[in-house]
Amino acid sequence: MDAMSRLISLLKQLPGVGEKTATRLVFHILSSSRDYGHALAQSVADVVERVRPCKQCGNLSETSPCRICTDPKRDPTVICVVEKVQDLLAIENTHEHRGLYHVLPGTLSPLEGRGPEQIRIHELLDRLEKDVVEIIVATSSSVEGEATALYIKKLVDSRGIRVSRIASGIPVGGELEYTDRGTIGRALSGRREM
Amino acid sequence: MHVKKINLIGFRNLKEQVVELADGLNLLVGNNGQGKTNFLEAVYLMATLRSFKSSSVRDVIRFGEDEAEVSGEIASREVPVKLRVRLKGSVRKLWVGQRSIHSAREFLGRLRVVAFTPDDLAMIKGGPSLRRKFLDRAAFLFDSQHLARVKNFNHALKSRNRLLKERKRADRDLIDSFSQAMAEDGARVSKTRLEVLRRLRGETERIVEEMIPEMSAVSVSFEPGWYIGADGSKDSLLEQIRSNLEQDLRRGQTCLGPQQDDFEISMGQNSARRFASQGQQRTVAVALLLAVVREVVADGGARPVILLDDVSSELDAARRKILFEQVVDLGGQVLITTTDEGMVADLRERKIWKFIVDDGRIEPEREK
Repeated sequence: MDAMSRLISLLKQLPGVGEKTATRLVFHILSSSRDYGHALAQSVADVVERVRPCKQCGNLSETSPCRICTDPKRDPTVICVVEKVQDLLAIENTHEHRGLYHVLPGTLSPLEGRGPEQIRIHELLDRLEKDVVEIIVATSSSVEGEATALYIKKLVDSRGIRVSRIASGIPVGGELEYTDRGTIGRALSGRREM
Repeated sequence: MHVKKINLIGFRNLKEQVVELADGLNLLVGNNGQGKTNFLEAVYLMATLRSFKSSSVRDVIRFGEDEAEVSGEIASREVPVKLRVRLKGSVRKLWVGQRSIHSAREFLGRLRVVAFTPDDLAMIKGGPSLRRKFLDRAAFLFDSQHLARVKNFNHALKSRNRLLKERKRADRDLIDSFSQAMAEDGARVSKTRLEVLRRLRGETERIVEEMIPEMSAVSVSFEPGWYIGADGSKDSLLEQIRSNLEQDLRRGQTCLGPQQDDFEISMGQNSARRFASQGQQRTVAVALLLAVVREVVADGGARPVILLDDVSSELDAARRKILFEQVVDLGGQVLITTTDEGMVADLRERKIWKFIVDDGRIEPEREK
């Protein structure tokens, strides 16, 4: 296989990239400067070589513990539990959470053979030995995401640590009248006192 | 409300084509395996985003193809709309008109369909799962969130059952997390089934009396798989599931809950399941279907589209006549499939639009 078709077939394995897009990307790389192509290749190699999961929280990082875990300005007494690194990034971008994270790889799923050992729950419990006062569970609102949140609450409850669940409901700036019934229902049952 | 035009791509054995349907009685005639039921399923998919044949909607994608697409023009006095469903692998994309829709909730409820299959005809005699399926499809017409709740509930139930199979080694906290997940949607599932059956009860009893006046009084009653009581709250369901844990661990499955919901039809003092003739049982099933249609109309919504899949051959001539006449008299769009045109001879004086289904192609028959 020549170099060009090899790159096309490699790019095609990426999510959302088909034959056409892959071909277009390769032509784009060839028509850009040589420096760009080399920088791209080098940076793919760097990512593969250097990025590792953080031993403490599971975030992807070039250092372990990661930048968030070692940041002295962050509050180590609050841990936010997420299903995947992308969710961590989404929460980071809000700048609303000043505590640390714990990334579970996925949710508890008996049907797919994922139990507490597979999703780093014991690592989470070990972290609670150090002065943690609150856990925010930010797993998804699917059956398995909810069950995971409930399970974490059961394990943590006896330790006198506060467990909270992120709210789900009407999006900010959303109009109530255009929101579907299921979401409004959830928002109503999860209302809070003012 | 009726389906004016339907456009099919990569859907089961159906050829890529556009089919125009009439707002009235559409008869699809063809041998077995030519695509009649698949065509009804395509209509059903636009209404429910589910398949009525397989548990996974992905099965509708033709073998060897990547994607399937069904789109349809829905004519309705209030809101004519174009619906489009595309399935690619496990990804589903939806459009209403030109607008892409991200949540199923927003898509559902725009086309209302009542489907009736040979499985439904057998539901009185058959196992409880047939009756639950019928009830769930009926409930969906009144509450478009119902099937999604059933799906969540079943997922939680299966997960819990898998954990129970580990018996002594099972992690009880983990089981309890899934008990809570079951109760979350489960209580509502049973309550909705109960409410729907209450709505259908009076109408069903009346229709049976019209159809077989000599039959002793029929009554319909819900038999929940747990003690619903007055409030039927999720806390109450959870408490019941929890208190049954030891037994569940011994049996390796969840014994109590909405998965055991059922309903009973009795004739006088006797259970129709055990004492009615096959003909009487089928009459009751037909009456339940007609009750669904009447209740949906009474609910103030547009007339639903009625799909009758190959039920004619399972009924005797007299009952067939009543079913067809009643369905046609309701005045909405009806799609009937049959292998034998003689089955609809009773409807000869009515206006029928006939289609020939052959090797995945649906062609309107030329006017005689």
